[in-house]
Amino acid sequence: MFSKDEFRSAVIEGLKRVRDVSEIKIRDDESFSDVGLDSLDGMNLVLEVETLLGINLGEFDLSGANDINHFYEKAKEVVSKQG
Amino acid sequence: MKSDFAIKGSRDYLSGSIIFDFIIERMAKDPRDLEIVFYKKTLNNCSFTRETPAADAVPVGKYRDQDGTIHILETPEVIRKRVDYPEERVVQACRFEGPMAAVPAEVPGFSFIEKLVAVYKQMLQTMHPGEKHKFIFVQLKLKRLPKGAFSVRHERRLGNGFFQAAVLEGAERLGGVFFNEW
Repeated sequence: MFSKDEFRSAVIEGLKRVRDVSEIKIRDDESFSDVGLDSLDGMNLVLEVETLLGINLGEFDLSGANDINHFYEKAKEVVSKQG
Repeated sequence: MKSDFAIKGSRDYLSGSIIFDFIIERMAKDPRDLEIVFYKKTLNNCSFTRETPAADAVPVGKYRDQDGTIHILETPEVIRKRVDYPEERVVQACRFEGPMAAVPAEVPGFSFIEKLVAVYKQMLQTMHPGEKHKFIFVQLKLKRLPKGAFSVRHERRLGNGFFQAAVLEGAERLGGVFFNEW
């Protein structure tokens, strides 16, 4: 299982790839839409995080997990259920 | 580079497959690690540039491969032409089995992307019978284009109405295609 720090790093790297920028600053409780993510970007963020962490989040819906804190908790729950 | 596109059938938008074929035929031969994404629907012709677009440009999509990025921008010119588009011929030529579809190398008159879009749209419509959803091609990510016959395997529904399928050549996963419902 990934740690919160590993997950945060993956999300930030994923955000940089999705937004095609070299740097991005976001707090754990800051909404992804506040840094310019639309629904298509959100889907791609899920794909990037899966690739970076080597996990499969299945039918994951980022709309209910729109910041790092909630995304982490929901991802942890999904991966835990996979055993 | 500017386009002179035609709208397919009775659609109320310019098909992403037309844009993809334009790029592959004229600007990106034998691409590797390719990706195309569409941001908005349009009924206008497009311009294609490798330069960074002006701040007031209207992006329709973006294509990327080993040679860099091509920006797809909307022009003010409305598309006047329409062409007949018998997409059902693709569906008839393919073999569907559960979440998989086998697509032959040749369906006369149809490109790789036209076959892929027709097949996955058919699969999604079959999975949602009786629902009045439309499914639109929004993104493609591939290591390379298949050389001949290929398969499409539905993988999952993601949030916000997105669907993902794998594109396979034999047992090799070449990448994924993404649709959105609206």
